[in-house]
This record gives sequence, C-alpha cells and structure tokens, in this order.
Amino acid sequence: MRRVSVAGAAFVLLALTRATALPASDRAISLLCAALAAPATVSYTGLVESLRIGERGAQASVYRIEHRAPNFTRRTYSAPPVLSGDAIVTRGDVDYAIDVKARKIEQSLDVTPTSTADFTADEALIRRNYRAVEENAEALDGRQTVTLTAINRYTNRTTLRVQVDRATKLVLDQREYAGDGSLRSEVRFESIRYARVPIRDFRIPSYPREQVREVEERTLDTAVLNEDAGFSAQEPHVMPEGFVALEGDLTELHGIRTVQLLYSDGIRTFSLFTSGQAVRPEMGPLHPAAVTVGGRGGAEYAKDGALDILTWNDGRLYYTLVGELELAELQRMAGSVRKP
Amino acid sequence: MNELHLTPDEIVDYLHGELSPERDAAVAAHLASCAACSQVREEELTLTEMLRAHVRAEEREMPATVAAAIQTAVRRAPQPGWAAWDAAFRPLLALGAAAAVALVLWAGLSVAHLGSRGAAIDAADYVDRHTTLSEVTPFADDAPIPPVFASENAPR
Repeated sequence: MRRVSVAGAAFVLLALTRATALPASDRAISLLCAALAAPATVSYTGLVESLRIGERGAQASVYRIEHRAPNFTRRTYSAPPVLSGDAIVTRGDVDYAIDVKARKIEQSLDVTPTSTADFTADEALIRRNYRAVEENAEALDGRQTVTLTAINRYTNRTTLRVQVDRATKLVLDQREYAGDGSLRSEVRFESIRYARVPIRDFRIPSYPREQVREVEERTLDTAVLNEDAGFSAQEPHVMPEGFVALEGDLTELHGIRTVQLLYSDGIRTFSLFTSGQAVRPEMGPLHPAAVTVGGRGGAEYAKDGALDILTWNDGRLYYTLVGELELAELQRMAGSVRKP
Repeated sequence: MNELHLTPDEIVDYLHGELSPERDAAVAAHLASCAACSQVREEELTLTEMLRAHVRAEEREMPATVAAAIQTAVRRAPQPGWAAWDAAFRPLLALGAAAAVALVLWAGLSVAHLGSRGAAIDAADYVDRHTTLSEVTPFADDAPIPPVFASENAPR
C-alpha cells in the first residue's frame, strides 16, 4: 500500500525544483521506480515471508496475499501461530483487520492513492537520494528477474536490494540493510501467480465491527497540528541528507495527545512523536541503554526488531524517535529539536 | 442472492461496482422494490460516510459506550461492610486521608523536583504507529503485523 499526502507530494516537487539537475537517464533507477507502480496495474496471488531482524532476535510472519489491481488486497496470516487465520482486507478506501479468534473486525479509512501523481512524488524522492545498480539476472520462482541495488547517494551505502520480475515489474524479493551492512529485513514472494482475483476472495465476515482506529487529523501543517494538540511540536533542524516530511498526524496514545511527523528519503523512514504531557516509553523488554542528547543525559535508546527508538524530554515536551536510522543519526536529530 | 433478500456481501459488491452487468441490473431492481435490502444499502453507505467524516472532523464526542461505562463505575455502590465501617470512623478517616494527601503531595513534589518520568506507554505502541504510517512509503514491508493483532497477541 502506498500513501503520500498531497502536502508532502507538493513539498517534494517544490524542493526538487531547487535541486541540481538530475543525472541522465538511468535504466536501473527507472526499473526500480517502475516497480513502485506495479501493484496499481498487476493482479497476483502468492505466499509472502516477512522477516525483520533486531539486535537479539527476529520477527517473522508468513501470509498468503491476494491482490486485485488497483486497490483490493487480502493478506491471510499462517504464521506465527497466534495470528493464524487472521487477515487484513483492503477494499477500496476501507481497511478491515479481521481477528477470527476474537470474532471482531477493526475498520478504518484507507486513502491509499493509486494515481500517477502520487507515484511521481515517490519516484522523485528515490531518484534524488539513491542511485541504482543492475546486477546479474536470475530466475526466482520460475520468473525471470533482474536484481537492483539502491545505493544512498550521500553515504554511498547499500540500503535496498530487490529482485524485480522482468515481465510485470513486481518486486519478488526485497532486502533492506542497516548502516553497518547487516540485513535489517527481508520480504520474499513464493508461488506467485498472475491472474485476475475474483471479488469473492475479498469478502468480509459478519463479525462485529469495532471502533475505527483513532486518527484525529492528518496534515503536514504543524501550525494546525499544534493548535489542535495544545502544545508546540517542533521539527528537527538536522536530518540525514535526503529526508523530507511526508505525513503529520495528531492522535492519542493511551489518552495522551501526540503529534507524529513521518519523514522519508524514499526508502528509509522515521517518525518523531511529541507529547505535551509527561510520558515515558516503557522499553524494559528491549534492554534500553542510557544515552545523551545534546550533551544532556536522561535519554534512552533501544532497538525493536529492525527499528531504532530514542526517547528524551526537554522538561516541557516529551519526544520519541522511531525509525530505520543509526543511533548517531538519531542523536544528532534529537539534539537539533529546539525547545519551544 | 437468496429468494427473498440480498446478502450483505452482494450489496457491498454492488456499491463497489463489482457485479456483472446482468447481476448489477438484477440487484438494482431488487433494491428498488425491497425496503429491507434498501435499508442495508443505506447503512453501508452511511458507515462509509461516517468514517470519512470522522477523519475530517475537528472535534470528537466520547463514544456512548465509554461514557456509559464511566457512569456505571461512578454509580457503583460500596460494599455494605465498608459502608458501615466508613460511617462509624469517618471523622478519623478524613483526618487520616488529609495527612496521606499531604504526604503524597510532598513526595510528588520531591519526585517532580528530581524529574518526573510521567505515564508509561509501551514502546511497542510507538513502533506500531510508525509502522502503520510508514507502510505506505515505497518499498515498506508490504504488510507489517497489524497493530490490532500485535498489541494483543503477537509475541514481541
């Protein structure tokens, strides 16, 4: 699924008008960008294995996926056992999270875009921040593929490696790498079949539909978010190269009003959460370490699977950074968040 | 379609324009003449509009079930044994309660002076929120374990 807020897309395009000229046509990066839009036109079924690797262990899940282009998708979990039989069904602009054991459905609005304009913004980010290298073609699950490696232009590090079906441009295998070169996550297709999926495969059982996932508003205008939040959430003034704000969200976490700002460079992402009430993310099971932010103590850092978490406060606002970034990058960003 | 009424799934398919032309015409004809099925269609349409309006709205009302649960807890009567004991020793209890409140305030101020750590929220909730919002960026994990399941069931 893919979502880029209108404001975020506009910001990206505006920023790019000020950037230096893009390099000449690049077959590999063009293939990578073509893979973004493939699900909008390609229907398929298959088995997906998803693996996320952390400091001390890994999280894995296996699910069957059925996708009817452009925007009907069903994911039915078979592993881990506790999720077996549960499913997420997307029908148009509505998501249904189906818990078969509890016989309940959580329904929420999904404004996943499928228009060319939205893919254009994603493609612009990737082209600006990454270069791609095409490697030896090999067969995967009986399909002829091409392997593409996305290398960050600023750090020169491999961030993403995908195997793309030459015929359909669908990503069949995707690996993300941490800054030290270690594997961070992998998503792999098996038994993929391309065929129109019948609509009956996306039916919803008649379970009670529970509350909509609470999202108060979604905007990139921090002035609007802050006015409704009741405090002045700040943005980091220092970020790794290439990141732009994509989404802003005002919500409540266990009754505490929280502003979430999502940033992306086209592949990596991070979120900055800000609360006006004293809040302490409980990271005990993750074995957090005491670290400093801006030369001051009291901050904590931990890894949860493939994601890094840094939490600190300035005495008035309480912050949490979550993302696919190294500790040093998180600390630099945290230190640049100025006290309102 | 059974002999009397449409199934809810058929109505949803009809609203999404996913039926064959022949079936679509048959459903439309049935809805025009069946009040019960027409009511189901209206409910489905209303639910979708409510979701859209809910996201766009600037203010929220507390769900009725939550308000009712709070009122029930407030009105819940104390146990008879406790009530009798309370009535007999109320003056002493009041004095003791005041002393306890003062002690708590003093302790709280001391903690605040050292740096209150505030309410504890499971770090997994932040991770889930980030994952939910970022799943729509290019090449994000196609389907992270959904928060509604992960927070309740999945091992972490």
